[in-house]
Amino acid sequence: MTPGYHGKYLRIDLSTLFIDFPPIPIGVISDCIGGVGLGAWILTRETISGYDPLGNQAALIFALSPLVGTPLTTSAKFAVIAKSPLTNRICDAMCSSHFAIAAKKLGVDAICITGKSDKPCILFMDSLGQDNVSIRLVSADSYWGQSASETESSIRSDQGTEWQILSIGKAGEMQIPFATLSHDGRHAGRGGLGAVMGSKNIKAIAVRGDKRTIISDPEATIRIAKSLSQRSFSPATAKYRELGTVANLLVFNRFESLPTRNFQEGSFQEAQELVKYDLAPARKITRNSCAACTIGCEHIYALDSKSGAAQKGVRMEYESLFALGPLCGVSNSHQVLEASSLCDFYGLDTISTGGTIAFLMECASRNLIQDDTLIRIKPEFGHGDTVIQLIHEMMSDMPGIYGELLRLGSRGASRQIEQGSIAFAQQVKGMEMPGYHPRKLHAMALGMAVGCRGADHNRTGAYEIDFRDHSPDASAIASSVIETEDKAAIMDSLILCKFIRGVFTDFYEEAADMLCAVTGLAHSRESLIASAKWIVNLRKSFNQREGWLPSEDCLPSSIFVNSEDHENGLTQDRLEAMILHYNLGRGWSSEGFIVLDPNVIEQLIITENSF
Amino acid sequence: MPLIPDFGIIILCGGESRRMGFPKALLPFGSQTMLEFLVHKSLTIASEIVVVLSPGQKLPPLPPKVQLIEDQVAYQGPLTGMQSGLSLISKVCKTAFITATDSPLIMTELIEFLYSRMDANDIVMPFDGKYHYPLTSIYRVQPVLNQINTLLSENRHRPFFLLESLQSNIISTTELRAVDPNLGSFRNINTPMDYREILRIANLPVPFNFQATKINMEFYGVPRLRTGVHSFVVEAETVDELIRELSRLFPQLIHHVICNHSLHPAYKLMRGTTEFLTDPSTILNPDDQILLLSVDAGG
Repeated sequence: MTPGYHGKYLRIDLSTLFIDFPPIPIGVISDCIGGVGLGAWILTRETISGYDPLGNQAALIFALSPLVGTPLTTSAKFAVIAKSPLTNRICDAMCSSHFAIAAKKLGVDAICITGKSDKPCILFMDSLGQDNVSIRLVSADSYWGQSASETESSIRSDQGTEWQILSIGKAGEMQIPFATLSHDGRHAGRGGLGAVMGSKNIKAIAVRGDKRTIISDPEATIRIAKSLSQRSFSPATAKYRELGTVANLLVFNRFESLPTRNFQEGSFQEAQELVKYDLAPARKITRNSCAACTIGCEHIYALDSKSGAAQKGVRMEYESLFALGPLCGVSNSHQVLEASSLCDFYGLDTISTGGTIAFLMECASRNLIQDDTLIRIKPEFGHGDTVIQLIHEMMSDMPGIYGELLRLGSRGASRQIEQGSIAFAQQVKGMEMPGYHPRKLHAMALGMAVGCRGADHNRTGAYEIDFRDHSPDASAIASSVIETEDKAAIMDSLILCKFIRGVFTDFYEEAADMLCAVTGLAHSRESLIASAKWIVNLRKSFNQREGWLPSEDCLPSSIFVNSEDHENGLTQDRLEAMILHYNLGRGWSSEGFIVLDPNVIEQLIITENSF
Repeated sequence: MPLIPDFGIIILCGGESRRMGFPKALLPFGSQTMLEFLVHKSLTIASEIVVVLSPGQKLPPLPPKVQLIEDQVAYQGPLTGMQSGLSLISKVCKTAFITATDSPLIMTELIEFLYSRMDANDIVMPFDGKYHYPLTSIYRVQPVLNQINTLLSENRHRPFFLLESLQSNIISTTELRAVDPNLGSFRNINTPMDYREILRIANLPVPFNFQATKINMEFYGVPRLRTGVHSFVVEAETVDELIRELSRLFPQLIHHVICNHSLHPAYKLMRGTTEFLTDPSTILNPDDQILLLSVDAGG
């Protein structure tokens, strides 16, 4: 057995309750590492072309990594991988903390769930005192309708605190295509993975186990872990420790890169109003961290006492702040906190929620919504109470409200509204854009346009280039975007939190050292760079198999400026030039089709050589 | 104040003034120039004054008693200037104090104190535990001149090498605080910022053309949190000066944002939102908007 791994994954068919443990070949472990890399491999292997992401054949994968359970800081993470119901393309999202550690103790490196339970259930997986994992389904009737955190508390109360729980909220139950799944208040947020879980009638997954993995070189691992922990207290992580990501808001506003009123503008005049709690420790009630993390980036803010939200405090990140604030023109921080808290309660991705509401607001401002049957509220920018009301409506089937329309996401809603409204649906491949205005941030524009899971700020670090250097050269930007994508692919496969990225002097060298110490495999700087390209290619090949077309790698037309104004914005020609360089830099065709010998990938995927 | 017998003062003023961007000897210092001020102060304790200048260098009008000598070759370092000055003064003085034109805060009491510690030594030189101060030192003219000739013939140009073979009395600057509590005698001028600081200490006005460049500074993220300041006006000519000024104004940034007189790699300075300021010698312009923010701009 390769240290750091169990060498197999747990495969569950919920329709038949058949389980087995396919081995993971050593070549896959070497090339894909874990996390999103391993998840992409399993997803491709376990599904067939053109399947319905919410259908019986859909696979929902939870992939761990060799570093989970080691003392390496920020390593207690897991990746959730599936075909997104929002984009119909690959989606991987990260979540963290004790669930990752407990799932690894099941004695597997990943869990793949297919099929569908005929009734809402809790899926228990248990290897405590057993040779292998056993599963059981328990009715979820008494938990249905609860928030994820309520479900988690209830199950642990009912079944014992040794269980670690992953759950969906009401949005997941309703299969809203941007529903999250979450553990301990942390969400695998993007792309509707909660809807995939909901489609299988799983309200929650509970795990416990006692299977440990061995570490190849414990002394070296501890030495590296100590060094990494020490550096995690350096100025390189101070922003996350002392302020959290909300500190981005004023910076982005200054750079005119803060998406405002559905990306119509790049700065928000009332940003200071929102920011007053950004730098006001008095409004924070606590700071949390994931298991095995020394950074502690989670800043919990007090909710207005008048708020009807269920939680006492709400974790606030820049992306939630931007999406439910400036994107909808809202400057009242109480209302933004309440809206964010509601999203957590229902299990909604805050970016897609805010993005879809902002889209609706722009359509209303352009008189594109003229349905007399819509009777309730007028969606106008700047009204925080309207945002809160629309979030509630999202969860309701009442006639005459916007719920059904909003549940489609901005691209889906634009298909209903028509009248050219797709130009204002600020999404890529159906996924709403995060808080980086691409009109000013050209590297990020490219990163979002070509992103495999859609508009994305986590599978690319392209914005770092925009804030580090300004190159007018499309080729140089494309090369840098490829570099950041590759680096993110390795970080998300190791898995380490990206907030620690600033402490590395040579990331690949140090990552190879970690993997060598834990697994004993002969990883090197060069092998990890090659792995990054494998992982990117695997994800792209999945999308290609599912019908990806070059026209998907684009931005909404309203983002572009005309050629006379190119000094102040992004032209379509410039984006297309960058995409061309990106495709060629990746070794793909000029249109972006993967030109690796398909047999090579196929061979990697179907190889059954076990350890 | 009585004159010290057989004693002269040599003032080196032939430097390039590259970082200052203006000849230091001609810098205004109250109603006089810097060199004039230093010469008149020297004349209160020394009968012989020698000014060593570079070839063709312009000087302010000086008293007739002051002797001038040009370096043979310009910008060869202080040892060649010391050689020129000592050779000229050797005919009339046994000991000499050597200083530079950019040390207007030199105190005559400190010179007298150093002279009093001469005894049988060839050199009396201050030392602060890290640096020696050969341009704030007393020298016995002839033996030192002989040794300088030897060193230069061996192409060894550092005044510090004089200590290798000459009998020296090294005086701690701590001891010198008895006569110069703030050690202003050791302050010299390399940049406009240094010049303004010395004028401030001397309570003299800053000439119009040496007024500091005022720039608009903006703090984001941790710098803002730690200082409680978002935007303010600060005076600095260059990026390097700006960082020094920020250290002085906001000590709470030291070790967190500013380390070893430069920015920690986790932070960056920008001029507006387009120009990244990485070269410490970058000149700042009046009314520049300078941003200090985290390198990790995203989530």
